[in-house]
Amino acid sequence: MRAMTSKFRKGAAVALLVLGLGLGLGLGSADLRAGVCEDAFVRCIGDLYNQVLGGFGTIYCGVGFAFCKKYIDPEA
Amino acid sequence: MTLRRTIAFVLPVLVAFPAPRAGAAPPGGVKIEEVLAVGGLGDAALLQWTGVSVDAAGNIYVLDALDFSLKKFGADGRLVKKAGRKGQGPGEFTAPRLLAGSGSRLYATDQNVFGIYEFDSDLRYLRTIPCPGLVFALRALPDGTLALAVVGLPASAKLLRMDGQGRLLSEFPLAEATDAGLLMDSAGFDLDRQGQIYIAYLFRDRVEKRAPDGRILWGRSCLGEKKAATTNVQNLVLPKETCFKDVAVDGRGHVLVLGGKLSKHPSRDVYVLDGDGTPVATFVLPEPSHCLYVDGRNFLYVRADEGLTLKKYRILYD
Repeated sequence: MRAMTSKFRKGAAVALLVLGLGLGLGLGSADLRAGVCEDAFVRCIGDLYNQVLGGFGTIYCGVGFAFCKKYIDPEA
Repeated sequence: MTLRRTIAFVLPVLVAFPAPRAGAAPPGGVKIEEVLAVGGLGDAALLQWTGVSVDAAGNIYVLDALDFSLKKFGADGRLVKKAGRKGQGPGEFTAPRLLAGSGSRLYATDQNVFGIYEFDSDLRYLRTIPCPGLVFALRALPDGTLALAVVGLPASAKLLRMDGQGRLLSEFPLAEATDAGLLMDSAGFDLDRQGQIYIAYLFRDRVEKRAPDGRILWGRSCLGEKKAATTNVQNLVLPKETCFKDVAVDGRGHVLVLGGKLSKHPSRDVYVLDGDGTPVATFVLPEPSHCLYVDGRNFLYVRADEGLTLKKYRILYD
């Protein structure tokens, strides 16, 4: 039970942190896996609001990507 | 009855021979000894911490990303106070990230806020200091000024010094080459008592020492000149692997650099350099961390349990 609770909390943490990248879309699964930051980056720069921001939107998503690589991605 | 016998046998053995809590002993003579754990798998005190700061009394301040809050723990690790909640109002968070402290002031960032939140040591929100870009590294200095690494348009990263009102005091670019690619300037930094700056790049195998005016005093590799693999995402070249996750200067003037994916033990190897960049030792954290923080009493703070726990270690030098 404790392990499950821990896994859930970690999963929830990943979801919230990745969503913190500024995604307008929900994240279907919150498992720790390689490529989670790349997927989040694609969604971030595909977001309409960030597209309107142009170059700044790319920088915003890039900072989120770097955060994701530093804190979240188990393969980074 | 069998369980009792097992406990009766095992317990004295565990007491007599406790499991080692310190990091692996390094060649060169630096090791760490755990003195405190805040939070934990069976404790809801921390849900996913990202930033940490410790005051002169040993109180520990932590930004909790999953709880959208700033928390204050006593020197014994007991939760004293919590402030902030999810939201976009003053002192509220949507994506809490960095934390720095100096004297009775705390400074926190939110990825979705242009500026730096200022709190007092009782976690009262004071104001938001304006900031010219997105902050990706932050330090508060004893003289009340802030040092921060920011990126904005044009997309070159800078290291700024600002006073407590947000007025720019100085700045210099982080990148040597502006064509290095998106994110290649991402870095952590720390300052020594003379105001000299140590920078460890997230996606480059490079650690630098800069003078306060930005002049490079030395730069070196710690990973054998490794290069981070890249991937192409929507016509943008993005780094896939991290070189260094953080850097901190300890009370002896040693530079502690946390290795990333490309180190032998990913996110666990800590390279210890002297102020001239000469390697002194390497030690290994028991668990991966995203950051290093050294307080004024030379205790080291790192992540454990993927953010559910904050661990405090004593640094031991041979």
